[in-house]
Amino acid sequence: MGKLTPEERAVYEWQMWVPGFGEAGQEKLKGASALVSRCGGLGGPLAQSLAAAGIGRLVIAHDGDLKPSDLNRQILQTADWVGKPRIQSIVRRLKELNPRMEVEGVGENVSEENAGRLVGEVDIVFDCAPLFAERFAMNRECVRQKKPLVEAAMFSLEGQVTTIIPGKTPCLECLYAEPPPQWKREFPVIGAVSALAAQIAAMEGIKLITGLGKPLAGELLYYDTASMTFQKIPVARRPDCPVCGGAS
Amino acid sequence: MNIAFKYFAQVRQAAGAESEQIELPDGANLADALAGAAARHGPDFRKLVLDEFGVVRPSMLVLVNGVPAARGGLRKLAEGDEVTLLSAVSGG
Ligand SMILES: [Zn+2]
Repeated sequence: MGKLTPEERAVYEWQMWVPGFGEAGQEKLKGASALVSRCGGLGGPLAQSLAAAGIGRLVIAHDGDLKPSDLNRQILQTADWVGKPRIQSIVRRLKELNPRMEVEGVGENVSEENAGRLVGEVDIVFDCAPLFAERFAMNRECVRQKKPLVEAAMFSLEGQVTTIIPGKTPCLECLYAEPPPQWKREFPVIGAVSALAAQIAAMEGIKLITGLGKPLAGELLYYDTASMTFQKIPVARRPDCPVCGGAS
Repeated sequence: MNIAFKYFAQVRQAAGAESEQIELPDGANLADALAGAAARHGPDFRKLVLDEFGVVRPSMLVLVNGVPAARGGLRKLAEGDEVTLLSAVSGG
């Protein structure tokens, strides 16, 4: 946990006024590292909020080149960057916002092959991947390495966020053991709906790191922006879960 | 017996409703209840919640009175139970 410099005290002054946060909370954030798996419409605003809040180190996993259809939600991209690697724009924009933060841009998506290494590098993981295979790989690795995992996902006008604390809360496979039938890689999305899930997930991470408040542990927050309904749904571990069934 | 259903995510879209009450024969289990709901809402709803053998899909989170139910759908229901159905989403 690093002591704050005078510059950092000036930058983070207003958030250190938050009751229960203070300079101690800021120092915990400075000493923390996080992995953001996919940095698009959800991971982008999430990484931006963690950077703005002063997290010490971010590892970002995101493959591919920018497409015009990314620009309705991927706010770390720029219109002039179409056709170029997304990860370069992500790292550049995050460093512009917070030059004190360490950012490792990994131009790959999370897979069975790299999940262990990526999760091993950080204190906390944010899962924002559009493919279930990536999410299930990440979940397995976080349970194995006992790292907290904030699961954020959206579809159309709705979102779901829950915080997985291995050994304590249900894991992703306790909730869902496979993708829905006919799930497609492309999904309907308005940027504001994914950014909403992102900000909820960012607060979950900030709370876990600083000890502020009470995380969505054993609860899944569901929201529907069509009716502006927000609802917490209790979720429990499955003793027969193939991933976390025996973990404590 | 009367069972209350609450729908979220894609299930809500497939049902075209957020909640409803369905009258089911006494002794019905979860899979029977979802088949009963599917009879109202058609093949897209059925495909989302049940597999071709009528077993509750593992892509569904099913709660009975707020408690996650064991997979498969064999859990027996009782008058007044509330069944919550949520489908996995992964959009980012
Ligand atoms: Zn589990």
